[in-house]
Amino acid sequence: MRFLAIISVLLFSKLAYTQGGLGMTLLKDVHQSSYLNPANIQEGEDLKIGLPIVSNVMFEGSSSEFQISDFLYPNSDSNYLMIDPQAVYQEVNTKANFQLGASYDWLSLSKNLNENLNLNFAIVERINISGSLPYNLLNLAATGNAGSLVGDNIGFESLDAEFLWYREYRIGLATKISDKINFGGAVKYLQGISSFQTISNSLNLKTEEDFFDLSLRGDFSYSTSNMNMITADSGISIFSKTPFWSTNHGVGVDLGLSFKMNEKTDFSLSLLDFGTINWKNRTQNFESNFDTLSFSGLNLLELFSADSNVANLDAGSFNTDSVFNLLEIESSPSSYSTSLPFSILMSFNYQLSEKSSLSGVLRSRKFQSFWATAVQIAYLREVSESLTIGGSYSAGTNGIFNLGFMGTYDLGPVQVYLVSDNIIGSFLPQNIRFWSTRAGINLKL
Amino acid sequence: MKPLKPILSILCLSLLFSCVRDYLNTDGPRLSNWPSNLGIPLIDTKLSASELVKTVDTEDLLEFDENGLIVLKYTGELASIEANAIANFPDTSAAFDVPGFVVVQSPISLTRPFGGSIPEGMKIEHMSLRSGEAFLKIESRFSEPGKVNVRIPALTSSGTAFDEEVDFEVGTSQNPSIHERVVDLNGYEFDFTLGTPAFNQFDFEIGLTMDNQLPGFLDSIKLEFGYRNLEFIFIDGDFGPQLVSLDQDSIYLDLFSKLISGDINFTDARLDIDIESSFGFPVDVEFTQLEVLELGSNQPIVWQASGPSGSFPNPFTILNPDVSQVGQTVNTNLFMDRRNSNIDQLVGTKPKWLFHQIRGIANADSNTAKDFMMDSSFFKVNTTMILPLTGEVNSIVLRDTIDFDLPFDEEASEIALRIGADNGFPIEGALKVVFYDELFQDSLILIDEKVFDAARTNAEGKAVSSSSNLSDPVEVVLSESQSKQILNLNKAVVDFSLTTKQGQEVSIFDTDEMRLRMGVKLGFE
Repeated sequence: MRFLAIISVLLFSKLAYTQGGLGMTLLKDVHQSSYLNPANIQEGEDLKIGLPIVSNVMFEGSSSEFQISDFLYPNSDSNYLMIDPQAVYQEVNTKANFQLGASYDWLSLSKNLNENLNLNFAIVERINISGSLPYNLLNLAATGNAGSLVGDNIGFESLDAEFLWYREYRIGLATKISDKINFGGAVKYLQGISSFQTISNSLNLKTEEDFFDLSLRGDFSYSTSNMNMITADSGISIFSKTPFWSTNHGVGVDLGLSFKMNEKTDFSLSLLDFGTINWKNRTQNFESNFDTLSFSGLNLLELFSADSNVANLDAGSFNTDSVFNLLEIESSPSSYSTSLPFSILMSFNYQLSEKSSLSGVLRSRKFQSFWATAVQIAYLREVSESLTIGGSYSAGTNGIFNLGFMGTYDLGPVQVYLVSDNIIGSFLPQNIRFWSTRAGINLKL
Repeated sequence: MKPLKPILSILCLSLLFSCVRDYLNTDGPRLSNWPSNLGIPLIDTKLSASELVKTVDTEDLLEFDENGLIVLKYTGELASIEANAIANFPDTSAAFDVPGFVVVQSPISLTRPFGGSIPEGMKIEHMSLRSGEAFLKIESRFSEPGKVNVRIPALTSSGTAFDEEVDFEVGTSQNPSIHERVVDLNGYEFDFTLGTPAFNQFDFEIGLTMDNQLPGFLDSIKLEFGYRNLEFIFIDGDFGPQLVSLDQDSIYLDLFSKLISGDINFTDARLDIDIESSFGFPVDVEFTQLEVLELGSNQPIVWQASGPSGSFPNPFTILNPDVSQVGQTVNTNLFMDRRNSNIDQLVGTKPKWLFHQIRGIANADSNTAKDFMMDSSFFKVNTTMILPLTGEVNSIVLRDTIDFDLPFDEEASEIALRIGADNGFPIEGALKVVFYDELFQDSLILIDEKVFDAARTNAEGKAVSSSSNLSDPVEVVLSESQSKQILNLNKAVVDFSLTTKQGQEVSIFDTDEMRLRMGVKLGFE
């Protein structure tokens, strides 16, 4: 049930349109910024080491239409996670997109081989969850099938979800091609750990007016791999079951280009997470096999018949097998592939003074069923030799008023950094529609 | 303050997790409110007469006749009797003494009659034996040894007469020598016609032979002959009048036990009587009791063997196999209906018990032909109550009590029940549903009205076109207070009432069918 709760949070909440800490792009002195700008070459000849786990922890989430706490909230009386579609369905136009992400580094290293060449390496664990909730589904859950929807074909075509848990081993190289141009790239070997992906969905439901006959038409399919890695008897087991090795292989590429227009202004362009993972370990491809599933009421003859197999209407008695049988779902173990959530990121930086700069970032990210785009304006100031702080304003399709914070602090060989695109969301992520927080501790040797 | 900054950063992350922790530590998702308008299809059932018969007829009581008319059949056995109940032969023996002074020479011969134990009034001429034993027992007080021979010309096996010899030794009055010979009678046949009279008894010849000297004057010898465990295969003769059946029994008509009220008038009821007999003699049968006790009544309706078009014969003679049909069964078929009896009145109104008594007398008319029976012969009176579903139905009510538990625990602002049918049966239906609490104190009537009309019929009462209100179903709407009240009720008493149009006789055929629909709309504010 805990797993269901989490899936519900992910599917129904509307945390969506995460932008993964745009402010991180601007913290060029943090070597993990090269994950977003592969062309970045940090200053100095130190060997920068990202310690396991603590060096780069990132959580992000966004919802396109409403905040999670309006739709989903814990019930202190019953310990149930309450879903409240009536509170939000009117805020949704055609569908509500959501996205959640998390990552941390097992290890990262970065070293400038000379002033024109940076070599970096990292092992990063990533989890991405995205999906869409159609307005029709929310409207049905809120107003029911016997209200304004009676007699209509209620389509659920835009209902989809993707779960992606993988590990990347990246080797990056950034070089200064000329005084004005830096080019960088990273090649990533990917290990898929677990995956869930809706493949197709054309389901629609119709309720007839006289006696409320229900008919479900269409089909749907989805694929999974290694679902045992995230499910357990008592709930979810992400991270507690992190495998050392996986046979789901994939490759990915990050590319970056920086152009220095003048002493004060530079632009950069990044193409990130261009890659795929081929899933073949413990895969299951599920496909519905019914034309029309109709229910117009119980058959009294079956009720009276002693040997009939009358469905028990107690909702608590339904289980996975009975649902699968009802929907005639068939499964096959063939392999499948998924794409990484590809991003295009553009940024500029204008040096206001020796110690302050103004930056802008535009990022567009492709999830399974939608693009998420956001822009950010940031101001960064070097307060002292060891402390740099800044503020940001972000806007996107999921919100136009997001105040962020970023900062680095050097304490000898130790570097601490924190980036948040929405300060409030760092503490109350359920009460906003957009949040991203990244923090870590690095060593400089 | 500077060293505190990284600590604060970590603290921030901790706060973040604490905020979402409640979201993850739950028992699962649940809708906070029911959808504001929920429509649920409840019942969609196509009831054809043939399917209905298969479903409710767990005892195979319902059939279709050649015209497709549904016929309710109750089959029972009114009386039966087997051969050994009429004719059986208890163990029998006869003994006599031969004094020594009679034996004046050796050998000597004696002839004695032997009469078996035969049922009263029966004159048996021939008997073939399946099993049994004959025995010859000797108690000798002769002072000399010898032998005894018994020969029975009337008892033969494959044409050879029974002929047995037994040696005896010297005995005294205080210490007789005892000898016994037992003979298996399997395969033997009696021919009692060789004796006088020519039935039920036979002569047996005794020969006494001394080995050496004659016995003493005061010596004696006791001879005992008899049979035991006698079972026959076949007997014939003149069996005379015999009472073969006087059973009293009843048939329980279970289908009507669930009727709460109302009645059904079957207009074409019939009782088929099928009598099987393999006895070689006629039997006169008489119904001495035939009556029905209705549900809830203690006044039986008594059968009368006369109707508007004749009378049912009472008593009547059943057929029997003749000598050329030994071992065969001959059937006698009779029936009673409303033309020759008042049987329709007996079964016309929700009967529950049918009581009957029948008396059968063999050779009641002093039959002169030779009677016979085999050990497997039997006599059986079977009855089949045939009730074609033709007649008039007057508000019969089928009732059931259902425990229910509403799947929602909040007050519905509206509960609207829709009921409709496309009815091809020539009977209209009404529904009454009353909800009660556990103690049957608080109640709420959900519906009490006609929910579908009868199909239109032809002159013979057969449905020819259905009557439908599916496009305009009966709708029952509970008020807000009633919707609130129903949350506290958990039992439903459902009365389903059926009736035909007044004075109209209708018939139910296998082609009759209906579609019953029900749906409910729940509104939540």
